[in-house]
Amino acid sequence: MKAKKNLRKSAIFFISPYFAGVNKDYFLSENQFLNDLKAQKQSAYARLLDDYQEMIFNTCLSFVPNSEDAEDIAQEVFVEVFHSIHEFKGKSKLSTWMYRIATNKCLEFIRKKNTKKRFGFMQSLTGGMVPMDKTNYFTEFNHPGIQLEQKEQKETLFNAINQLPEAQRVVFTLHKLDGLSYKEVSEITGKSISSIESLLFRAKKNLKIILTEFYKKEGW
Amino acid sequence: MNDQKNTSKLIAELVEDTTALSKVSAPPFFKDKVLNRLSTEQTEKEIQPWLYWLTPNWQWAALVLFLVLNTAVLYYYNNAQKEQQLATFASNYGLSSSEESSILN
Repeated sequence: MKAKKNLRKSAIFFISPYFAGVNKDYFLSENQFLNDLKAQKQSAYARLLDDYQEMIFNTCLSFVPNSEDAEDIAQEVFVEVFHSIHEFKGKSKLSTWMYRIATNKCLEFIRKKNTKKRFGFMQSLTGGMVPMDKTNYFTEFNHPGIQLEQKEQKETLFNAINQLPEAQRVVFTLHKLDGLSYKEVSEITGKSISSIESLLFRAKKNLKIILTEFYKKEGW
Repeated sequence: MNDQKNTSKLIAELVEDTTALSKVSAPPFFKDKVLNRLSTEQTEKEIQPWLYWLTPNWQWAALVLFLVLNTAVLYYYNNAQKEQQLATFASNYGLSSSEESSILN
């Protein structure tokens, strides 16, 4: 037992300097990377895009399930990062900060589109000539990550998510659709883990009510 | 009864199971588009017009200040004008207190 303990101790003794070195280099390079971003060097932004374009695009798709719209928002996110990188103090991870920007951009887009839809509906009531589609969803559903046979069901789910209060929508989207952990969601939203759990619970409950109503109307 | 069970099962599956949302790779030329946009933004920033700081917020503030100043000036001017007119009227009709005192002359 004692020998085993000693062996573990010596292993740690030999391994730790190696990891310490790696960590030091890693942090140094991360610092250098942040400095390059703040200096608005193109090479740094090329690396940022390589590292984060997929993550940001997928997050945007989770909020706005239309590839063209999601691409536009993702571009906006990187432009925002470019403009406000000097405000990033390094208190959170860069990815967390970028997630926060992406979430805000998506919510802004949804708010604008929903207002436009409502305005279009009012105009159609008063006899205006604004063309209006029949759905009340803010965008045309076109998520490339959903299989064709599941498209209808997922479209219904996204429609129901759009009817949730904003806080519940954000938590459900980030955790359930984007696959982030409670901790990550809590860091992005600035809420405690317990409130994330509670929001998620309420979101699921509300979604079940909305979907039940929907299927009842559809005659299921 | 069976239908209701099936619907609630479907709803539960829909809400709980989101594995069908697979990760998608970024659209082609996304990186190039963004880098192009960033370089355009940077050149635009370099050749900023001299009134770049006059954002809509400042414009509104300037407009409000202009309106307040003008209203105040007009108000005081009208008041002064009214007093002067009254004094002229009084002196024309011999109602002025300063003229009454001239009897002593």
